[in-house]
Amino acid sequence: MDDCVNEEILRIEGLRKKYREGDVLNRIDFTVKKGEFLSILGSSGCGKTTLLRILIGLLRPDEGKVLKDGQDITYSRPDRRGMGIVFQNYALFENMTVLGNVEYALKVKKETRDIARETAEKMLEAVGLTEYAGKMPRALSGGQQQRVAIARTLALHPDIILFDEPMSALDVSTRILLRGELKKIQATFGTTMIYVTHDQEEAFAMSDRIMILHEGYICQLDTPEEICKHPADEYVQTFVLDNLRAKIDSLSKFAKEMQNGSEQ
Amino acid sequence: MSDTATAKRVRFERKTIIHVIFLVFFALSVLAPLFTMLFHMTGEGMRSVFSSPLFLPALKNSVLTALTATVISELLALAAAYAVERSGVRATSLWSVIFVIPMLIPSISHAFGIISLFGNNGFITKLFHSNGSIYGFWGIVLGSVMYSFPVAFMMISGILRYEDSMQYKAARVLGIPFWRRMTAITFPFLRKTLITTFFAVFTMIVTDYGVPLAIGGKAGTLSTLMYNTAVANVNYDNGSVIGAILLVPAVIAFVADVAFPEKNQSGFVTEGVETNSKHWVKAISYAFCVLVSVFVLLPILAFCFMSFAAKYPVDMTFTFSHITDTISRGAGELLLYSLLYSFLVALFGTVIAFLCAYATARLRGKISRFVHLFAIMSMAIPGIVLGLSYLLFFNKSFLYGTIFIVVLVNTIHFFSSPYLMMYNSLSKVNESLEDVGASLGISRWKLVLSVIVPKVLYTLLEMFVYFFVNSMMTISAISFLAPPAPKSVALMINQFESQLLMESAAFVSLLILAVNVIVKGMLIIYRRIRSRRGDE
Amino acid sequence: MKKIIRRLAAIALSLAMVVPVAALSACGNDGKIVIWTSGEDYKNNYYLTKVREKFPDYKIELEYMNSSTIAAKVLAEGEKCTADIIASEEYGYLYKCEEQLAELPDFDFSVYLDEIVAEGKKFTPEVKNGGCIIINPDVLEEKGLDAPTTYDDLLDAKYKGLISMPNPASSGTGYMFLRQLTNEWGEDEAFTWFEGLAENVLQFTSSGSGPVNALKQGEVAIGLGMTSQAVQEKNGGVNLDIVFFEEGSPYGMYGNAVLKKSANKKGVMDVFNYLATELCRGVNELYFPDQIFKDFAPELEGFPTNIPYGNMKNDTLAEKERLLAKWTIA
Repeated sequence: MDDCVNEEILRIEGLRKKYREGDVLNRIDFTVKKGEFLSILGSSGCGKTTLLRILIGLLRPDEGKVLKDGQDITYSRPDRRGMGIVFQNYALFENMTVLGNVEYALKVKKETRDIARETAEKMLEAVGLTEYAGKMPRALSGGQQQRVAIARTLALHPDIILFDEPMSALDVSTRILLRGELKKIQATFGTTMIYVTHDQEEAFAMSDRIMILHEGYICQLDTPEEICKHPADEYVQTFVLDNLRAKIDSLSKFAKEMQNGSEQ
Repeated sequence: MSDTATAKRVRFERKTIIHVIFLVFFALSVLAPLFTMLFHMTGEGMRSVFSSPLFLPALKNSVLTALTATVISELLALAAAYAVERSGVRATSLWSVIFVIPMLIPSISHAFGIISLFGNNGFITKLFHSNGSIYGFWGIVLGSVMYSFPVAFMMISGILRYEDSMQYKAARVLGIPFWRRMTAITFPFLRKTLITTFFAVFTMIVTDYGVPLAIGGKAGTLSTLMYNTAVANVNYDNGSVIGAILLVPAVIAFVADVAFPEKNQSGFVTEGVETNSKHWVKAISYAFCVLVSVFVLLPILAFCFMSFAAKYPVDMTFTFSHITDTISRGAGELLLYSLLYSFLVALFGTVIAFLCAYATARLRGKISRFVHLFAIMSMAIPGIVLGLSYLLFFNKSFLYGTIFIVVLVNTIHFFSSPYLMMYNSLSKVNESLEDVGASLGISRWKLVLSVIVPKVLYTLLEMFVYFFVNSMMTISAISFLAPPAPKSVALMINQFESQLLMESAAFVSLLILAVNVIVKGMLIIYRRIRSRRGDE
Repeated sequence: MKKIIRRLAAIALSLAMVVPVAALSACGNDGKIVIWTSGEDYKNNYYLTKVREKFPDYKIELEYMNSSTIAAKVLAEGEKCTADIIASEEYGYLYKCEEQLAELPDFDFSVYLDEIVAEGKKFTPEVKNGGCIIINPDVLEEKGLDAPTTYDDLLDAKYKGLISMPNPASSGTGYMFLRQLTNEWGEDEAFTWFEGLAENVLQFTSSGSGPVNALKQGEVAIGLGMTSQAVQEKNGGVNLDIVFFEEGSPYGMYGNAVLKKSANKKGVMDVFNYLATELCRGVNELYFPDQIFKDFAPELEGFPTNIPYGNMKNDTLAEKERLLAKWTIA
């Protein structure tokens, strides 16, 4: 997939956003290719969530444009962009069943009952929750709830899904499981995914390309391999690569141990 | 740069408009009436009030009775809250329910309750052949304690219930003794609550005229002076002056509350404090709970006897004559009227308070803080002051003398508590729901109605009940506005007070209690069913 | 889910329907005739029952207020006042409100004793209300106390907390006593006496009927109250003694009137005429037997005969306002 896509789906030009507190996005320009998995990596306060909210249309930039398939969507409504968003806290409709959560938006969009039901069931199947359709969200684990949220977004067939640190409330094993499922969903539906995270490991494990954001500037936007080979600046080197290396190193001795163990 | 500036100006956010609407609403319903009253003060009025020989004794009485009653009330509430929440006694919910029963009848009824027990002809006076008089200072104190105790109890027990257990576990492991744990952990934890409660209870007592009117004997207070001046003698000039004085403690309480926000509120409770205390603590707690319950229930029992006995406490022959008398005086009709307007207050109040809380909790913006401040400000305005303000502000408008004004004044008077209930509930609801809704094409209205309202349904019912119960029993603001419109059943008690028709007052108090117990009971039953279903 | 939305919609709808209806019923004062009275309970009940019987088509309501409150409200509210008829109001206050009262050109004042008809003829005599000292002998006995026989006895500390008196500032009955004793003893002595009495008074009631009710409940032993009300309770079986000290019985005149703004309102004059003539006679016969009408001198069981009426000169509004300005005891 890495090489088959070159068609551009999203183009961001000269984006700028200022807050009173000083949280800033500064002249952000980049493009997103159709079907790619792009991570936006940065520590808290770097502007990554602000950028995401501008992309989905929950926030308006002070300057700059968001173009999708060549059309200016900077000021269009969030639900008219062909995008979906998944939040860290799931934000499920707790008074509805799992199935109800997924089909609700379809019903509001005046889909017929049968089509809504059929689509919702298909989406639940895609995230592996068919048997939970009749359950209430609070009966589900965190990982399952997040999959409901993904199914809910998928049901509207978005071209792009935005993720706002979707796994930071989940435990490690669930995260690793869910990573695989996200990639599977992407393969099935061909959806473009933009994934905000502060976790280097996550970004490097999942992404086609990674954008490293720091204090409102893009430090580097490239494939994980390229970033490893040619870190753009000091920040990328220390806060991204060194951290990642430290993580790998701290575990590498166990890798040896494990190997030794199996040899004996 | 300049074109973005204009773009910003043109793009007036919808939430800002909503906030401005609420600001205008509060300006019209709170500020304008209040300033009308304040500007109504004249030099002449001030001279006449301050030079009256009744003024200084009333001021002194007000301060002394309110201080004494507040201290007693708060200590009792602290002890009761500790007994219920921490000592490990059983039937905690039963005690909690009993302790708040006095909240369901008008303040003036408590005075009659005290008279029925400790008056010259009271049940307990007769029983012990005691000779001291309850009228005056101690009568006011006792009556005020009766009706403010539940409020103090709820405030303190609410905080105790949500204290984290970690420190106690640590202290116990370290072998720190009981009293030391109390002084080192519990009291510091409660400090802010105790201060807030003190101000709230003091304000509540000092601005209430019901208790001192009925049991004050010759001891007048500022509130009875205000009532006699402005309600009975229709002297609004002097009434405004006293009203302005009564605003002072309320404003101090309000500023204290806003200036020192609750620190414990955001605290994360991992586990409630365990309640396995020593046997003697438990024994004392049981005794205390029983004692308080007896004091709470005795006046109500006395009301029953007064209503149904031929001549309480001498001739206990069963009779309906007091009841038929009271009904012939119009109790039935006024009860219906009270039910109607309390229902309207509850409906209107709940809707407005919900919308307002939604606007401040989930549509945060530049001016939402001011809306929030306005919304909790109504708490600071004593009912009689609000009543006089409304009378002066609205008496030339077409609204005057209609049920609208009664509904509006009660909505404002009782606004802040239900507003805060909803504000807290909505603040806890998942913050991303609206964003998800927007991305899925679900309109905000639809999302609020179909997702958020079900989520806070219980709080909505709680608010409804709060508005209803308080409207049923209020005699403060409405005493200024009721006569042109039909009166309320609670205000009948004032009339019975002036004629000393104790039996009728007792029966009407029981009527109000019955209605409020039913309404509150339905809420409790609903909560039980819900928690059994596991909704909570 | 849908249920909840439907329920909410239902609530909103009912709100939309109930509010205007309720508002209309509250605003619609037009079909209603409102009587304000400062009279006692039994008399109010009598009036209300009778006028409702006689005029079943009108919606008639009767609201009780202190005599001073009625006057204050009539003056303060003017055209906006919700009352149409004022019943059982002190002459003094009626004079005070004269501007707001309707002319009664068709009313026959000649049936009343000449000396009690008010100048200006804007209100009709209702009752002559006399005061007395009322004693509950059971309470005295229980406390082991003698009955007082003079006003000075009432200052004895042994009666502390056992005396009830209406507040002259709010009640006409209370004022009668103040007026009379001022006439008898002079202002300074009278006020000194009242200050002494206040030491023993349990509570100054805002209504003139307060003391008798307090006596009935056994809350006090001695009351300065209304003779008529005491007789009512006595006849009803309450053990009370009615006594007059040597100064005699204070009394006051009460009258009925129509508010000027209601003079042409449908039914008001009919109700008033009925109340001021036939019902006034009824009250005269049943509760307040002091003669009002030239041709009618009723007798009432249990009502003291040959009441020694006291000195009530200077019972004018100006004098009343002057005395009450000095009254700061309660």
